[in-house]
Amino acid sequence: MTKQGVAIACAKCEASIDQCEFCEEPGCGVPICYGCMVEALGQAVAHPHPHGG
Amino acid sequence: MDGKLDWLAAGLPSEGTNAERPRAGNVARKDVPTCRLDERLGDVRDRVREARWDACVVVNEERVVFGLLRSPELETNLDLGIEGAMRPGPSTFRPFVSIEEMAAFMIEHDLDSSPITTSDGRLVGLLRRQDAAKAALELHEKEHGSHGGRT
Amino acid sequence: MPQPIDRDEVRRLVDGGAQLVEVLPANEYEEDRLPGAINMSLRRLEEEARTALDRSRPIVVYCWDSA
Repeated sequence: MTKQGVAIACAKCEASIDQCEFCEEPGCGVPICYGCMVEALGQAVAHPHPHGG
Repeated sequence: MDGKLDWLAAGLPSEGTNAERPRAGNVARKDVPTCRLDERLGDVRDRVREARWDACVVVNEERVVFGLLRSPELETNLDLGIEGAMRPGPSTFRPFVSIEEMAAFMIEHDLDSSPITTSDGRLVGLLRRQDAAKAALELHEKEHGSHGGRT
Repeated sequence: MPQPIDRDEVRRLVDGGAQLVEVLPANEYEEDRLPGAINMSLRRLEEEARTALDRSRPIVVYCWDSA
């Protein structure tokens, strides 16, 4: 829900969000939630490969 | 040691195939003006203009990012002071994020600039959309060859 | 005796001649690694360390994160 009371959803996972976490601008045409953003940008990549030899 | 992720997130040098590709930390402008919370907004605005920039990052003495002043904020009512005018807690991105991803996001979201910080929140630089797009295009041309029609 | 250290300590040790060992799989090592690090499989670390590492110098072993 934005400050204006409009519900917005992440363009990727459709989770309800207050604002686009990338640009933080109201009226963003492709709002994205924090989780989807860090994943898309590789900022918080879970261990990419299993451990071991 | 915390691990390779912590090292990369701190913007420290690395080797390997990924190290040869430009990333947000490489392309971010290190010369972005910075200011402290206790400075006068008018002084900061003048300094930013003189440096021919249109943005300033608000940091503390350890370069931890507190906020961002872009053109609209810099032109606002001077009585507000830095803390009142700035965009607090802006979205920041790690130095190792690929420049292609950052460029795509910045273009898609029409974002002019983004602070690049370490995992400690310390400023590495300000990534400008035009720089990100240029670096991404150069990388694409390098890896895939430039398309015909350009001289 | 192994002990956890932070990245500032890693830099100090490496400046002083410590050996860096990454135990992640080879393809990850090829993509990104700390400067000067060598790659050793965790499974074969003990066996390979005997021949590949100088026991008279500190050895810093790292993985992806602290988990």
